[in-house]
Amino acid sequence: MPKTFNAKTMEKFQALSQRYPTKDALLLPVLRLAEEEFNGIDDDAMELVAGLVGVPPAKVMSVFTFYTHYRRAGSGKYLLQVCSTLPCALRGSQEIFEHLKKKLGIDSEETTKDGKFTLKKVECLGSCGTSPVVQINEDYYENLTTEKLDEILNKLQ
Amino acid sequence: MVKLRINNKEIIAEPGTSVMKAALDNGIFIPHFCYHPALSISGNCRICVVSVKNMPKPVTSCTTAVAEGMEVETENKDIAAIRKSVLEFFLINHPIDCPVCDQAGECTLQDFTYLYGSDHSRFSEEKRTWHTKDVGPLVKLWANRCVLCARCVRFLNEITKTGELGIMNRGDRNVIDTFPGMPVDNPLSGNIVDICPVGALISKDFLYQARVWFMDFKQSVCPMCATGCNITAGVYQGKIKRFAPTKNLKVNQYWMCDYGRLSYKFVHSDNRLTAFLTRSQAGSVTKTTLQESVNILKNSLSGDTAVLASAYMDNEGLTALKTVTDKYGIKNIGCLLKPDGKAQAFGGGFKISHDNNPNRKGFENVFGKAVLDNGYRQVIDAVKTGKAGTLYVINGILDYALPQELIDAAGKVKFLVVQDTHSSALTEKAHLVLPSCTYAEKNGAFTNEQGMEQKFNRLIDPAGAAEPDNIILNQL
Repeated sequence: MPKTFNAKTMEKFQALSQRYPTKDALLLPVLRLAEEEFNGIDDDAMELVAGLVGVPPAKVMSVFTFYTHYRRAGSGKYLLQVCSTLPCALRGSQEIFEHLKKKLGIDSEETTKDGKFTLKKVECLGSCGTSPVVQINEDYYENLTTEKLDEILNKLQ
Repeated sequence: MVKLRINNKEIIAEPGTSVMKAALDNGIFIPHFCYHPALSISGNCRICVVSVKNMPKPVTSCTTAVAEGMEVETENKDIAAIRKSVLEFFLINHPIDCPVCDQAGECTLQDFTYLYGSDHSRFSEEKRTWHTKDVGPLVKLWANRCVLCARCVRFLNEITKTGELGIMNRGDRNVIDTFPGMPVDNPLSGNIVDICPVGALISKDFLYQARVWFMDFKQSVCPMCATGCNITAGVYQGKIKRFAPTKNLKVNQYWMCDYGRLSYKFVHSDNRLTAFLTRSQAGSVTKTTLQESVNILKNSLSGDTAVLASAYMDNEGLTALKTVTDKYGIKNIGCLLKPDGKAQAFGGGFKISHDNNPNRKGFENVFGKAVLDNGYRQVIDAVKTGKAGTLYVINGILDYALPQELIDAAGKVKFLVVQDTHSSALTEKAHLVLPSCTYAEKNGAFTNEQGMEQKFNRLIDPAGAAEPDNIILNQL
């Protein structure tokens, strides 16, 4: 089904399109808008973004699939993005990832059956000073250990 | 102008020219995958590194502009070592399936590995693999063989401006792909197969048809429109196996359209005329010879003959026809034209002409504009009103059904002569049928819409007894 932005998002899009000098640059924040409005990006959302920004859908797809940080359509209520770049890796991110994998019974880019959690290995979250880091939806959880993580997960409803 | 030295050869180049272009223009080859003269610079493949005196590190020649007094070395020990490393990376996930790869023999990855590569692999892990995939009606993708030079992506962004392909994912997962439901389906899609430096994008039409090293390559001119793209035909065992564009910056740059690319099939179609035939009034058909046909034709041509000649005839045929019409005092002459199509323009100036005839200009040069514009109408009227005793049609238009009014009118003449490449409703009625050669079976020339006379070469033997138009006409 073709998608459209609601009036409020369109307003945001209009404002953004004035701010960016090139179509390619505008593409990134408009993908964010789509992510917010549709709670994740699917092919239809990419086509919508392509039409609005004025680039071919294949270009949108190549940008969208390049970045790990965009939310895919069909992600769970909580998107757990485990940073796996070097500083986090040195401080135990692999252990964190394996722990989550075992606890939730899913691999990277998979969602639990109840639709609550999606696990994802991502590239640098830019918080190396507080590594290892997991981003859950819009929030950073820093200096993590598996124990701390269990506590956090228990609080998530 | 800038003066520099490449491999100790003094070279003069325009300011802003890349070292790569300056070298290639002066006959010095620098290996490259991603560089293409008609596309934007990408600088991603890294194989074109060269040493420049007083520069701290080797530089990619495609992204480095020439400078006054620059001293460039394109081959030395350091450069060879870098190229070897670059190739090692390209070959990590490459299946090295050359024995079943259509690109083998004309693959730059193969050639550069031969020149600079290692004789063994140090990679013992599992290779990253992708399935083959149809990316368009003409093109299939072997992503495992891809070097991610992005020539195809740039071609589709800059020349056709359709942008069907992108590089998806990141790092070692990088892969060329289409957006779901949007295949590479544009009039120039076949060109991405030509510019792909490896066996990643393969023509489905040519797939497994012939090993390139067994083919003969001959130059010709595409007859499917008035642009007159220069083409290289690959011929194997007497059959044309593929067409590819030949670079001609004044005509077709580096490209040709898909319709022209596949047009060799018309030459090899099943309904080619292969014999001289006569048809009696009762309708019985007899095989005859060129000589006998010429004799019959000589006796039936006169001042009240009407002639229809097509703009698919070459200049040699048209000139010979002019001599014949002058000799017999034939005034009723018309031009058979394939109807116009849509003109299409692309990035970089490549054009598909609206005129679907290769030699309208040539016809005009020989018979004049009045005959070209009004002759057909006059001939049809003369035939319909019974003013023409004999109608002599020289067709040869490819991929075309003759107009019904002509077929209907042709039934009214006493004697119908049809000289054509393919059988048609008209040859079914003709009292004399002369099989003629297509452009692929003779030497000749077309004058394209710019007025450039372009010679084409005989690619294959004629179908059966078919003869070039001018060989037949010269005997009348």
